[in-house]
Order: sequence, then C-alpha cells, then structure tokens
Amino acid sequence: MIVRKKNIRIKKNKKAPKSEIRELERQWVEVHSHIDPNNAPYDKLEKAKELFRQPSVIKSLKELGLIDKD
Amino acid sequence: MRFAWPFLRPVLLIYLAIFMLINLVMSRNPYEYNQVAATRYDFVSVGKTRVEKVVVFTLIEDFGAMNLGLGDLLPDGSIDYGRVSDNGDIIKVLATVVDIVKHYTWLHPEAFIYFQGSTNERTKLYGRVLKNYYSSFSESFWVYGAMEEEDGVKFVPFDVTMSGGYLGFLVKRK
Repeated sequence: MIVRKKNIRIKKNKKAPKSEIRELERQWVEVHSHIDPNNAPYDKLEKAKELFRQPSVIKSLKELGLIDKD
Repeated sequence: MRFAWPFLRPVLLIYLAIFMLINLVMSRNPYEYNQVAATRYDFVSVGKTRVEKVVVFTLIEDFGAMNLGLGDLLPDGSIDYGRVSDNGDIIKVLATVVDIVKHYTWLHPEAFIYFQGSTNERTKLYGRVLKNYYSSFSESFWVYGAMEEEDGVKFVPFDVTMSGGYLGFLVKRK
C-alpha cells in the first residue's frame, strides 16, 4: 500500500505563546498577595494537626498501607 | 515555508514543544541549600531582590507525618510563612523545595510530607503545580491528596485528571 505523505504548511506564529512559567508566577503572586475576607488565611500546622486526628484520615492511611494497621 | 520532514504532523510537533517546555522548566537548576538543623533548610532566592528562604519540617503525628512549611527569614531571625516575595523565580524556588524534600526523605524514608495552602485558593494552586510536575515527581514519590468524602476526610492517590477538591497533599518516598 502506498501512503502519500502530505506536505505540511507551518504557519509562523508571530505572537509568542504565553509562557507557562510566567503564568505560574502570576498565579503564585496573585494567590499569595490577595486575601479574600471570606477565605482568610488559617494556621496550616493547626489545620494539619486537626486533619491527622480524624479517624477517617487514619483509616485511609491504613488502607493505603502507609501506616501499620495495629 | 515547506516543512523539511513531512512525516512529522502538527500534533506531534505540539507534543514535542510541550515536552521540550516541561524539560526546560524541570531542568532549571535549583538553588544550593544548607541543612541548618535536622528539620530546617535554608537557601537564598536571587531574583529581583535577595530573599533568604526557609523550609521547615514540623512533626504533625508520631507515625512520621511532617508538615512542610516554606517561608522567608526575617532580620530578627523569625520566619514569615505568609509573606509574598514576588521575586520572579518561583520555578527555581519550587525546584529547590522539591530537592530539599528529596534530601529530607532520603534521610528519613519513613516520613510522610504533608503540605497545604494557608487558604483554599493557595491549596488549589499547589494542586495545579503538582499536576503539572506529577510525571517527574511521581518517579520518586507516592503522591496522595486529602479529600472530603461522605464518611469524612480521606487520603486517596493523587489524580491528575481532577481539577481540584483536595484539602492538602501527602508525599512519601518510593
């Protein structure tokens, strides 16, 4: 079977695509500088401690084999 | 302009460009860091200004769950975890944090490293970062996300197809 290969015309994109890195930096600065009064920053460590005290969390860690079942 | 290699289709070129971009991003050299205490690492971010950064691992639970905190070192020696450096080098800073996590978990392979944002918005962004770099990160780590389910919060394997909904993230050395 003969497959005819097409010639592909590449259009020159004059405008450079937005850099993924710049976009990430923009988002990073945005979420770290903007504080929504309805979504105020909380103490991460306290939140984490609260989370890891929950029986459902411990159960899921055991199910995943990350901690001993005893 | 006619393309020299007609067997390469545009879709393939797009994949190639994305692959090269990811490689470019991932190959950005992290900063050098110092382990100044068993659970603390320091490094200097050199972007628009010079910012001393600190990564601290704090014990959450006795079974080895450690909280990961990234902050700026203040002149009085305290650490500000909420400050926005906007130093223009976030990729390099993140690459350094990943390197530090690799070093810490190499020393303590039993440790689970937990992190979340101090707002829901920030946690969502960390999820997006994790999603972008999952393929390289998952080579060295198991990655889990905390999700609110009917019977409470649970850790589940991180799903790159999910757009959000995680309360925090847990990584463990493979």
